[in-house]
Amino acid sequence: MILLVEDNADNQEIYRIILAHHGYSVLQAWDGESGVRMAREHMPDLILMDLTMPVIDGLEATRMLKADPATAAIPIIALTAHAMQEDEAAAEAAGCIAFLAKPAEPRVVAAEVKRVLTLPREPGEN
Amino acid sequence: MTTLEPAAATLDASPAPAASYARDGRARFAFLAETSRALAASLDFETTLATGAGLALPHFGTWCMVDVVEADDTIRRVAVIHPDPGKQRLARAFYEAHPPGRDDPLGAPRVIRTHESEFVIAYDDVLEGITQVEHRALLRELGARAFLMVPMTARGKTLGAITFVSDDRRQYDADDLLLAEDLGRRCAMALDNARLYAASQQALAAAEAAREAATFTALRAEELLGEANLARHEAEEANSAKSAFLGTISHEFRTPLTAIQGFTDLLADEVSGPVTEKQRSDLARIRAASDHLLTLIDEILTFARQQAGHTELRLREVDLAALVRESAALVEPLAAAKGLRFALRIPEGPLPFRTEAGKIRLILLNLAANAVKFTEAGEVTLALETAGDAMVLRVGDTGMGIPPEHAERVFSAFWQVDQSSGRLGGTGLGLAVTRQLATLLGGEVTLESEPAAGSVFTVHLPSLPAAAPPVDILTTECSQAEQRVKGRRRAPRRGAKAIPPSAM
Repeated sequence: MILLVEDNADNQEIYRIILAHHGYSVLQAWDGESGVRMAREHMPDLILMDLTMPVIDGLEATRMLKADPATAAIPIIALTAHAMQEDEAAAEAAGCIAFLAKPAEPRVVAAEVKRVLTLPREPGEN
Repeated sequence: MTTLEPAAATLDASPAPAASYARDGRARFAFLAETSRALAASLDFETTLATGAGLALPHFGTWCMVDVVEADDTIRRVAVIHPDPGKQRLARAFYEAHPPGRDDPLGAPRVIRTHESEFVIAYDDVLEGITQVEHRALLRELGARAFLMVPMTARGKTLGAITFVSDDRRQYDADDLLLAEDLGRRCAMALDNARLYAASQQALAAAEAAREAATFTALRAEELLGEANLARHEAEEANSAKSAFLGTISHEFRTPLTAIQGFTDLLADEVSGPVTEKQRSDLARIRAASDHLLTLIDEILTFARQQAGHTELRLREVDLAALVRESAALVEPLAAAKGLRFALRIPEGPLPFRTEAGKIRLILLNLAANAVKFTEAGEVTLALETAGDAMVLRVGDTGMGIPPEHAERVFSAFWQVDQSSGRLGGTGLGLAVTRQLATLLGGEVTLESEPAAGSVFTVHLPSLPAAAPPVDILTTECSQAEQRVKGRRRAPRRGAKAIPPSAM
């Protein structure tokens, strides 16, 4: 199960379609706050997190999830249109395991999701 | 001859005979004190001298003359004082027309030369010794029976002489001579002081003028600096506003493009259902056009960020040869697609070089994609050479070339060789960005080109000192076009073509 946290309707639709096409079930959240709430509630296998969002942005949401032992192990892939170095560094610092620059091709997103899900879990992670 | 009135006034107030001054100690002291006071009171030295000499009349003679040595060593008769106004006028007119010469054998000039006082009883033969007829006539008219001439000496220098003339053949004794010499010294001191004072005033005035000029200059400089700062500040603000605007525009453009590309990809990949060959080909055209648009937006964003000075340099040691090979691998298919030969010339083995990989890659992609774009037949070459510590990258083509008059302008932002032709497209930022990047890396980009024969862009990159600590992140801030290239390289199952930033 993948949690897609993204405030743009087109992107939500594109990533939902491609992930569903590859057989994942997709949960959708439209801002950082609901993203955090839904992650705690549903414990997804992976989160695709847009970084620029209203209410709580993706970086803050990621930090909150990583600070919570219950959700800390959920891998988070950052998605952003601000494809600059400092954004990637910030995403990494917040706890994102991977970084995709928008516009990311749907199949690239699907491939990255697959890659991250097949990574061996770090010791201590559940 | 200026002010003589004070002298005349004092003259009237000094009725005592010279002889009594000379003999009576108290009177003598009073005379010299008065003279000194009069001399000190006046700073105009001609007035001073006239006053001083005038005080001594009629004690030392019927009339007198004062001569001073000018800075150019000539002698100037600054005062002629005679109790008879008619005779005084006569004398002044004559001496104005016939000033004493420095080398005159007799009179004041000789006293000035020898620094010694003279006392002359003017018998007829003495006057006959004066060669000039008019002068002789004048002296007879004024009355000249005896001369007493004393030098004016101060600080070891003879500054002039005072000549007392009597219309009778009077005798002077040693006391008279001493008194007259004393007077000469006092006059000299007064003259010296007046000159020193004038010089100091002049120096003071010059200093004051210089100070005023300096103050003015400083104020003006401050004013100019203020203006320059203001102008710079305004320019920076305008530039920053422009960059912010371009940045925003770029970002806003990307959002709908993301949707266009995303849905196009979903359709083309048949995620949303099967498509016909014709539909697939149309989708590919949409995708290509949107890729192109995205590249343009990326260039604008990169350019805007560089203009705003947001770009920082993160150096680390990279294998330049490998970097050039990577870039070549992205460009080669583009050349092949146009039927162009593609030649890569790099030295054997790794070439460790301290630089920023992302910027080098962008430079190479810009130049090489440009070369492919402007070449219809022939060859595109990519070469890497070492030049001592420095590295030289060359991108050559056999394309349309650039006229020499445009050789510099191609590096300007928003400029294209044929402004009217929309055929080649592009933002006109590619080379401007390339040059900015090379400059950031401490190097430069130059162009050699001949119309119809092709162009060679040469990038000189000096070896940079290890100023910044190495960073963990492989490529640093780079354009989004490059990010995408990078992303595709990393991503499995890519099958996507490289999108070199189109230039020009």
